[in-house]
Amino acid sequence: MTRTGSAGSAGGRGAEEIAGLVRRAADDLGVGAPPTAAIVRRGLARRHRARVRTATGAAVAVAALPVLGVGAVRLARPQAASPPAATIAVSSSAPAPAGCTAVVPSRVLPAWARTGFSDPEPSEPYVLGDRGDIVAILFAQPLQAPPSADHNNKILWVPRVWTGSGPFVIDATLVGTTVTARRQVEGGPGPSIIDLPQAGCWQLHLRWGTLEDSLQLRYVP
Amino acid sequence: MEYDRTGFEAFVAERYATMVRAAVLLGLRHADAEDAVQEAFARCFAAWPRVRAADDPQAYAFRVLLNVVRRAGRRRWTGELPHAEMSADPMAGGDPATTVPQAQSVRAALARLNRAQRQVLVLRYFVDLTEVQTARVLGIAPGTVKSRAARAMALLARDPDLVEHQVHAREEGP
Repeated sequence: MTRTGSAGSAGGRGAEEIAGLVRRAADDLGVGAPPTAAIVRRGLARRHRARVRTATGAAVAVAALPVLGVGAVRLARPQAASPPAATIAVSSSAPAPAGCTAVVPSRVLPAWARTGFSDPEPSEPYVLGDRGDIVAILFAQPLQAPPSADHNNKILWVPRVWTGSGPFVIDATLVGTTVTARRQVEGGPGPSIIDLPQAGCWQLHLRWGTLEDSLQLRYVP
Repeated sequence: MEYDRTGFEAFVAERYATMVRAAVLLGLRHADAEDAVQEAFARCFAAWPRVRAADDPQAYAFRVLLNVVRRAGRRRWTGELPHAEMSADPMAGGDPATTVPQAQSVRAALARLNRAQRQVLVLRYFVDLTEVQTARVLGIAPGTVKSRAARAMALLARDPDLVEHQVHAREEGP
């Protein structure tokens, strides 16, 4: 076997040769046609199981409320000049929901919102819709108005059920003012960059087909 | 309902073979690789509107595949979907007398890298993703892709089996 000096380094020609070897590393592997129909069936079954798990989890949570001594669940909507927004009074020991805070804490995502994440229990900063039908996963914090030069106001929208069609429409109102803005995400919920005209606590009304929900997000200057 | 099945089928047809081969290069046996890719595509179909709307659906699919491959390493796979159609030309890559030993040597050398280095090389040079796409799939910075790939290439360049193949490639010339 002959050895060469240049092969001992990955620079220049050596690197090109190695890259070429990697490109050809599976040339001998025959691959059949994809069993697409079976893949689709498996995907539909997976989606069905996720829905059943979600429905079961919600039923268990509702059943557990009296056990926890919770008398009422109250949604407090943001009022004029009172920035702290949506709070869900579940019990005195329950963690505060994300609501209209500048920095949203990371928590494990709901099971129905985890597809695509490499971690089976991904912990991400997210805000759950008031009806619990959608989450806004914040890929950048804080959200800023005007947008930061360092990062985009990137938000991943994930609905509980993928039944809508057409664009995902966001009607935003700056709490305590008449300032409004409309944003659309073509193709439905998914990754988006949502810039809003002013800093402050924004009430977002969300629509996608028959899906309607709302949540609050704070943009900082 | 926004389930564009035709679009999904085209998405699968275009990427299936590459993803199976990539899964083999990532360390799975061939049969396990086929099943891992089928599972990855099934997960993609379960969230197809979101995949289709993603900035880079291919990167999304590979990210799901890496997750499946990682989990496949922890448990025995039992869910392969049987199918009958075989590739018309399984040796399409060239003369089996030379390509098979060389390809096997490269796979063996890749297996001697750590998982992170192998992932970068497979995505960057076998799948031919850009540095940015590779970074997006792996959830790391593009600069990390570059440095990790350089280290992995240096290790492969010193691998005795691959040194021999590099010499042969040079002797055959362009």
